Amino acid sequence: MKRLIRIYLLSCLGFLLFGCGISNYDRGQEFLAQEELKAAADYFTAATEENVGADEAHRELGITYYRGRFFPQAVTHLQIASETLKDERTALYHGMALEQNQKYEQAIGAYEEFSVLNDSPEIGYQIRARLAHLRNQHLIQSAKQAIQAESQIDLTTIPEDKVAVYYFELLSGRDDLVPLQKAISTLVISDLEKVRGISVVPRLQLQRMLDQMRLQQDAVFNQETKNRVGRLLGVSNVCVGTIEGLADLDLRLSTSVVKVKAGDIDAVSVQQGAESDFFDLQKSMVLDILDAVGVTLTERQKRVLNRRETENLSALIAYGRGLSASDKSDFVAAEQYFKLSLKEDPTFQLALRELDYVRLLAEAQEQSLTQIEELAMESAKSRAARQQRLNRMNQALSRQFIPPTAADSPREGDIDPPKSEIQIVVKN
Amino acid sequence: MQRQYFFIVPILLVLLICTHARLTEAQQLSRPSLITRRMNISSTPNFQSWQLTDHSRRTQTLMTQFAVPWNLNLALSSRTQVQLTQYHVRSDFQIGSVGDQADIERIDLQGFGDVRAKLSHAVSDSFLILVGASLPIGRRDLNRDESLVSAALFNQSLDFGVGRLGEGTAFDFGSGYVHSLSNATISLGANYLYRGSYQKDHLTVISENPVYDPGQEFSLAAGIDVGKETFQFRSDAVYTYHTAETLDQQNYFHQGPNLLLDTGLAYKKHRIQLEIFGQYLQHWSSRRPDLEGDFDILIRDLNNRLVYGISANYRIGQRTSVFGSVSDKLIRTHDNRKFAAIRAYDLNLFCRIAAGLGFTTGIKISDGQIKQRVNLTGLSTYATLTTGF
Repeated sequence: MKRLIRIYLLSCLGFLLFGCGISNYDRGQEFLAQEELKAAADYFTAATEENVGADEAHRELGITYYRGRFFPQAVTHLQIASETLKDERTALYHGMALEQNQKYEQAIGAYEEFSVLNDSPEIGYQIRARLAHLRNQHLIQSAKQAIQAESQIDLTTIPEDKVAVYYFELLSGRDDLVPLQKAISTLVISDLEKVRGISVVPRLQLQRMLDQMRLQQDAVFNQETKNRVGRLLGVSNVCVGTIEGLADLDLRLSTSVVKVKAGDIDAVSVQQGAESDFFDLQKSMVLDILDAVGVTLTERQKRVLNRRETENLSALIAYGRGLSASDKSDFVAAEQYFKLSLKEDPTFQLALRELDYVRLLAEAQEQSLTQIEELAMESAKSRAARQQRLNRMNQALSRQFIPPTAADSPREGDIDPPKSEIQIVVKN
Repeated sequence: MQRQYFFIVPILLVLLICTHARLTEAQQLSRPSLITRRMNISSTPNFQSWQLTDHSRRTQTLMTQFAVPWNLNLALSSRTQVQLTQYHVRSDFQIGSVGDQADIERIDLQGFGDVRAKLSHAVSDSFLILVGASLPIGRRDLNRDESLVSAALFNQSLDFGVGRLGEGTAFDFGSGYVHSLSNATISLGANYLYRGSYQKDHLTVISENPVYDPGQEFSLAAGIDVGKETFQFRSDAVYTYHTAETLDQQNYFHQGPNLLLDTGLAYKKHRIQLEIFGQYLQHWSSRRPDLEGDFDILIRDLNNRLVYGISANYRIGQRTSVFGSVSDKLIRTHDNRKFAAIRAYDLNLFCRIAAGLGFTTGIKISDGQIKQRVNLTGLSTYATLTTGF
């Protein structure tokens, strides 16, 4: 027996000494910790050629390149690592490297993966803010690319079911109705999004396209501009409309649909009534638009569509002002307007959503990737501590169900009869 | 410790000298790649041998156990994990004569154990739910000799991994809550274990082959971890209450509650972790009612146990880790008399052989005395291959 134990232990020792050589990966780690990035990169590169832990070596090499601001190389290695490693370190650095490379769409995917792996409160809000910022950047980037490639747009490839809703033009001199230009458009978009069979361009995408087109003020509502926006957004139909303030506080909402492929425009709806009936007029207008784009609604869909986002015109006007402020990146003013809107109608979900969005964008303005990196490290530590405690709790609670040893879970019949003195307790 | 095992000391010293701290930032955020895989399958064949030499009775008892379990871990999501376990085990029991007494023939007990399934779901970073079920397919039809072997496996001085093979259906429900404070993490949890009744042969206190209900168990647990950096303190307390065990629906035994205190202080620096740890298990008296129900007999059937020691864990490289510990186990009776004292040396090694393939092996050597008249030596060794998909 003694000989067997000795052979076993010596084998273990030999095995240990064989494995004791400091690996390229570990040497890379040492140099990375000391910010000696060149040496770290060399060792990690060597480690990527080994058959064990190559994915981790690619991750660390990617991080080394990221810290050295070689972002394309960082993306390459983190991309390889992310194919097999599903950990938060890989996802975070992959996202940051992609962002630095202005690959916003892929960066959004990586950050979303990170937020699935780590949704702890310490970092969750920061990542949401980053995602809001990146989605905005992605819209700007896509708009720029669409304008650059405008001459190559093939109208035949534009899907028939895609619709954009343009801002409404104010025809009268009632300045108090200006905020409705964007607010009505958003209400219509919200309604159309509820209908199956059509795909609606989000308002923010339209706004970023208009920003990049750098139009003169008087060109915004030109027929040619509307048609061009339709082409750039890749939609078949653009819903356009006007608001007129009439005598006796009456309103007239007129709507047309620009057929982008044909280049013509069809008038589809004229709704006129008292300002107090504004939301009825708006719903009727939407039904006319749907009719014009060839969508037949079921009764259930009509019921869904008739649910109003708000019935408070003051709330809608404040909301419209908030949208304008947000589009000018004045997030402080936008937040005030959305709060005012919610004060008028606390159930107005669109205002609530925009309030959350501008807060996230305001937060993102203050962020730096270095801060996020530090927060993520701190959050990982806290999370690991909670995870460790949960694991210990798991083990503690499972002791009786899956006992670590037989002696931890004895019962009568499993144990020797008592040898110690016994005591008799008389019951009352 | 017996002189024959002294050669382990220089080996352990060499290992400790080999260890020196190195920086590994990656460990803060990443886990070993095997753990991140969706499914792990492992088997840990485990061999244990215990030799008890009673000089006053001039007997030598040899007990061995060879257990071959299979274990499957399946991650249904990043928060939900299912674990399935079963094993086949062979245990042997033999009393040999030191002097002129006759040997007892070698008795063995072998068979499959129940399948245990456990699901753990982290509802959030702070809340854990546990659900377990035991499928009663393990062996229960033990003869008298095999029952004798089974009973010996529960000896408190020994560390047999597997006790009884088959039992009735069991269900386990637990939940735990974790809360982070500035530098501490605290947890609270509760667990309920339902054990179904089954026929138990050769327990003829009341009737022959009675229906045995092993009772239910309620556990409350509380724990705290302090420190996230170099020094880390952990402590857990688990209180378990048992309901009465019945035979043919008649109360015949009520095991006393127990309290487990488990604590440790770790020093972590880069790739090395040193820990001093202690574990105390307190058993309160059990009760056995008389047949008329007029009085209870208090039975101090389970002794109290204290284990303390020091352990070291070192990650040698990207593919190898070593873990070793030296611990003392003291077993004392209810009136605080020394019952047993055992020292154990434990050495484990983990190695990633290839991507998705891990190998773990370990050896534990124990040496001590029971009641100052029985010398005890033990050897335990295991090897595991883990693969993930």
